[in-house]
Amino acid sequence: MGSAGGDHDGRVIAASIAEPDRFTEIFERHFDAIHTYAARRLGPGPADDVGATVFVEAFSGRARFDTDRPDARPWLYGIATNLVRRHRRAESRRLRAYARSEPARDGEPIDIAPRLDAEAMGPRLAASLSALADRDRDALLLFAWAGLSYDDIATATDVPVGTVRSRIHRARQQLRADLEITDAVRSME
Amino acid sequence: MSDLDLDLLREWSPASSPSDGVRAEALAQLRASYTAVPGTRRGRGFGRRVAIAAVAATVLLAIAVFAIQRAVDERVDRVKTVAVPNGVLGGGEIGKDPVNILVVGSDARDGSNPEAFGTPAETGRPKSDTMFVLRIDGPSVRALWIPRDLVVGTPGRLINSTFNDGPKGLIDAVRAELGITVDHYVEVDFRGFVKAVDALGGVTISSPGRARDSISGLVLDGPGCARLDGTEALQWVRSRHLEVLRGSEWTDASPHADLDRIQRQQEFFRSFGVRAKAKIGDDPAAAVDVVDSIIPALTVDSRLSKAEILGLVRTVFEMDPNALQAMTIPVTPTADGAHLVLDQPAAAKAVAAFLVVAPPRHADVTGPPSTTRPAPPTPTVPPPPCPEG
Repeated sequence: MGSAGGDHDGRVIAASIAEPDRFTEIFERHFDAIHTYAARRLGPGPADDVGATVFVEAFSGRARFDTDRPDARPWLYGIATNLVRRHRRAESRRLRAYARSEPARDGEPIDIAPRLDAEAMGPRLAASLSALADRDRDALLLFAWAGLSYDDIATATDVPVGTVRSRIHRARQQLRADLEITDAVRSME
Repeated sequence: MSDLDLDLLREWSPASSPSDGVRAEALAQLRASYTAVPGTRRGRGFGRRVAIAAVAATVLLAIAVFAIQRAVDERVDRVKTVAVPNGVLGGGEIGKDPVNILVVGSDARDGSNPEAFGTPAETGRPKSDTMFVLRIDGPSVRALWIPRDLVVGTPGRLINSTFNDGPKGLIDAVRAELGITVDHYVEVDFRGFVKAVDALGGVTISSPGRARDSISGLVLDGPGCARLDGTEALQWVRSRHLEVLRGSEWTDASPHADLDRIQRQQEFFRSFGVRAKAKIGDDPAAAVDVVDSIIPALTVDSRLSKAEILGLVRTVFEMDPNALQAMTIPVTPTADGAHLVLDQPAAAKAVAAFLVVAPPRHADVTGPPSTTRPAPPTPTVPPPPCPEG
């Protein structure tokens, strides 16, 4: 993911061993994405904390980064995911608060476009996310919100890609059951 | 399987980018860790020694700051003051409120160094060559540079000419043009700057190449890091006609004279800060020399109290120079290219960001979302590339 005219992430991180200032390039390339991900999971306040800490931790652990890798994002999202875990209570408080925020329309299948419905479905989505196993939720949200590939998620969470696949599958099954989404509904759009 | 579940998930919690303020704060934390963290390739024993050394350095620095404050305390009565008429300055008090301090570097008035910078007769009235507003808001320190070629008011005049009759004209112009109320005014005579750099044993800068400025008299031997003494440092930060040797040709290295110089000044002040901390951490006596060199060169507004001066000294010496958010007011050249005017609305946005109250360290989740605050722009200056200390 080398930015135009610059070295790829691995080379920049290798250079930052001797020249710490070079690490600022990594920050500039990826901070917004990492912060955005943390904000979606934890809300803006804790995300400021997590966003900043990810890069401080990445910097201090940069010697362990495999500098042949051109893209630092899986590594950074991995650090972010660990930090989000430390804020797990904040996350579940947030999700439970959403889940209570308005009564879910029980029994009504989803029959309109997601744009209109995401808000109405919010409480049920939150309740469903909050009930997922941590590992399944991490994998699902790295996929849906961070936009990482299965391979990248495997790198970020340090598990084989097959494990990632089954975690995401399990999480989506649960989500779809909780939201009463069926593929028949989809075909009616 | 359809992707409706994923679509709903993305729609429900849409992505929103962090504000510039959050980004700047995070970058400052990261940069602070560049110096705080021991090299990761080294062994644990080394790491522990570095940690102990870091604690020792902190203690030494605290002693040094104390020494500086005592030195300032003893000499503060000798600081020259200038009366500014009622109502020109805002009422902000250092240590209590967020304050804007207008800092002006001024030409030597007694012609003590005429070879380099001309005699008073040649240079005319003292001019403000370097102007920035220092904003101190709790631990957050920002500096907003104002180019001296900026044209202000109607009819237009150069902002540094508003200084010809004393600080009031400049303070009024900063309020009228930028919308920044100046709470205090500090003028530093360039002579004091030269002596302060010498008291630190020089300051290291990074040169783009073999460089010269035939007007300021600067000569640098080669590319890379060079330690400048006080006189050279002044030539460097004041140079508007820097040329670099490329092959056998001297080529213009500051096509945007004023703005290039501002960038050199911002880099220089950071290096100065790093150097000052390293030097006085080692040698608190040097701290007193720095104070001795600067005090006679200062002129401050007559409302600046002794307690505020001590508070200012403490803030400046305790801050991490790499965390300083240095920025320049956005400007654009006039049609003839000779001068600069404010680039609106970017300039107004930059000022709003500059003045924004620093967010608390740990924002409350239930508080207003950070995106509603105007935010300070990302600092424009990288930390100095040359090792210091």
